[in-house]
Amino acid sequence: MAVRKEKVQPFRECGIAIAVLVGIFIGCVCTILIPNDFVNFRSSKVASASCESPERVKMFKAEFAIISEKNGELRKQVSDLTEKVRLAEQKEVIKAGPFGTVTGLQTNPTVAPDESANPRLAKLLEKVAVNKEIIVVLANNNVKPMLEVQIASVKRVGIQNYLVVPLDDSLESFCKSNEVAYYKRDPDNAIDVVGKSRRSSDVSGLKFRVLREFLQLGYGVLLSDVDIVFLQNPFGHLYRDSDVESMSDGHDNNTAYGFNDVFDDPTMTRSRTVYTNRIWVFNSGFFYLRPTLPSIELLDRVTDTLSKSGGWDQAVFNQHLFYPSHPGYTGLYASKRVMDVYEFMNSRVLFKTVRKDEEMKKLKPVIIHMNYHSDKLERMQAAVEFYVNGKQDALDRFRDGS
Amino acid sequence: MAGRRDRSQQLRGSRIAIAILIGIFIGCVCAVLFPYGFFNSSSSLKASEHLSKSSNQVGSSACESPERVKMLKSDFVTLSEKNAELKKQVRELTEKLRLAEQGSDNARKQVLALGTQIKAGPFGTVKSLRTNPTILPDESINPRLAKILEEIAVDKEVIVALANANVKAMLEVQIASIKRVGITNYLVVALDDYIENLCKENDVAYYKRDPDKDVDTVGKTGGNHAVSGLKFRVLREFLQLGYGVLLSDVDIVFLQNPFSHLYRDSDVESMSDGHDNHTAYGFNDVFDEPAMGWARYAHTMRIWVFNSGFFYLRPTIPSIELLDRVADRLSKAKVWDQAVFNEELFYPSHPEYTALHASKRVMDMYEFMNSKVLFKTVRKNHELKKKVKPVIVHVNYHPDKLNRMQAVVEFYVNGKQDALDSFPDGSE
Repeated sequence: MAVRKEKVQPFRECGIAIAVLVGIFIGCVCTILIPNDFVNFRSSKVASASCESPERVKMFKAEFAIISEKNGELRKQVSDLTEKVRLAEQKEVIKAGPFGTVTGLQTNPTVAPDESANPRLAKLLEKVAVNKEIIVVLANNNVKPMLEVQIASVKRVGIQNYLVVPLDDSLESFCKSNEVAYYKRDPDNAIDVVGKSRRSSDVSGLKFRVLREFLQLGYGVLLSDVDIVFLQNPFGHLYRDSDVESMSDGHDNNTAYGFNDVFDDPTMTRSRTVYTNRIWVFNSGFFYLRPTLPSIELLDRVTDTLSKSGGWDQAVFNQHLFYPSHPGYTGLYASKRVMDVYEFMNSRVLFKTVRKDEEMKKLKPVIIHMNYHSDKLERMQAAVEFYVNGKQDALDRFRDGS
Repeated sequence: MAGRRDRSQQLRGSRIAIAILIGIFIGCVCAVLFPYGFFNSSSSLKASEHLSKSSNQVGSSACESPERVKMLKSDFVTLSEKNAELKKQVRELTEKLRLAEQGSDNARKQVLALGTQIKAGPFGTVKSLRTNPTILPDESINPRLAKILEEIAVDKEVIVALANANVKAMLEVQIASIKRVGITNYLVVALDDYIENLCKENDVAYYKRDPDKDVDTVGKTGGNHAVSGLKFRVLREFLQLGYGVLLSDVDIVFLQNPFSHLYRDSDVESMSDGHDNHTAYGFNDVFDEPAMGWARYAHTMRIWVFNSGFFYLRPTIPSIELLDRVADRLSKAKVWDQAVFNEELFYPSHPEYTALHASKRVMDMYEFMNSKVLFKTVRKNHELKKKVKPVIVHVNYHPDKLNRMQAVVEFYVNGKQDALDSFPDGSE
């Protein structure tokens, strides 16, 4: 029995070893035949052929990313160019309608406000302005009495948006003591010297430099000389459909609004009469500017012309407004409107026509500008007496001219 | 003994099965740990890396599936195609933009001005819009005219002359000068059958309007001014079709091609009735009123009128509105067309009136010469006679037009130096 037991034990150990080897062999066979796992029966390709190397895949991905990036760039470029082309072609977007329906662009768009042009002024205007509009007056000590009359009329009428630009210290103190909004400019040698001048035409030319900042800030500006009496709020009488609205130096419908002035040249015999367009000038002492590019260009052009060749600011102002383009010159093309001659009255109309006509004396002007007379202060006071205090003979003692 | 043998056999079978299973298990473990085989030692390192990077995707991350690679490839191809497409689009748009900008040297300004609200730049840099955009052509309003214009117009511009039998002789002189100069974009609007035949015989492009009672009556029998007023109705269609129109009266001699001397930066470019720099281009005409004393001198803006017998209109909204306004006023009152033309061009807005605000340019008065300048100034000045070579001469100041037109041709074309001498400054 002992011998039999020994024989059986060696046989068992040998059998187990063989079994293990058989198992391993089968596993290897499975690995070779089904490299992607038992569950995946679809794959029948050999391992090397069916498997891309990681390097190659990485390369694909990198190229993919580059192409995507480039695509994004090109897409952006396309949208930019599409926009540019659209804008360039916008010029052809309008068809002309039938007779009687065509109206051109008459009211220019305003500029985007640029507060960086003058933050201090911007802050001041936010307080003083009404509907982004303001009356601006430039004054120095030489015109103080007239300014007093004007300020009194402004307060009487109840105008809130009125601002004085004092050109010297005396005026600055005067504004403080009279509770009038004022804006003291930063020192500027060129302006300061002229500002103190006694010559009114020199001082008058400064306004074109001063007003630019107001327009850049997006405000509509009504420039007023000091020899103007306010009887109503002018902002209730503006059209605001042009770059420039101005009172005229004209004295009737023809001279104020424009007319055909026939020129006679006898040497031309049968063609001796020739037609001309004529209009009395816009008064550069009372005008309203909308904050548009043409308005700003107007100010720049006048400033530039005055600084180079001098001249009277009112003449230069009108040349740029009225002269068309011609060889060597490109016109401005600001749209223009003349204010009503009886609402925005000049002193010639008042003293030569209105005061002598019973019907016309009943008119109620918005402002009166003593531009045609040298004794301005007395006439301003008389206008107040007549229109405010109702003194019927207040204007009678004055002559037509002066 | 028999019982013992049975037990021993059963135990053996079971053990063998277990052993086989253990073997298979070990094989699987080896497959997972060494996917590239036992002998490739470098690949085992990579396998380790993969294992550490993405242990959750043991099988799939090591080996990209063919489907995924195929997908990547097709995406790649798609993107490349799209890329090429976008590049092409960029090229096309760039070209389109260039052409659009070429169309007018003021196109950039237009783009800026017509775009969003912009800030004003510093002093000296602000330029407002001067050149209005042109309208979109509308061929439906007159397909017949559109077809004619397509044939004869040059750069979408054309000279238009209105004529009836009364001005036949002058028209012949004009046509001769047109041909001599080599102008091909010239069109006669025939107001009667006689002129229509004349154009046929002389190989001149012409356009016979569709019958219209009002126009036809005036066209046949009307005087100078009445016929002249018709042009404001006729020209509208030309502008609506998108063409720039140079209107020419028949009393004009062409010596050069006028289209080489236009600026095209305004709605209206016109010759002037003025006779010097002041009267032609504008000046401050001081009005004296002694009664006003200190302010006796009133300043006024004055300019001689634009001549409504020779002007160029760009196809813009203001130009068309100008024609409409003038035509409307002429239909209501018996007034001179040139006077109305100038009133609409020059008068600013005022109470009860809104101005047109068309941009205006005066043509050079020596290039586009009126007959006063020629006979009163130029012919008497040796320098001017030599140097000045007019583009056109308009015999607008003189009633003996035909004779003076012929003399102009003799002088400027045939070089006959005394051709102008027999005429007085004015007229008899």
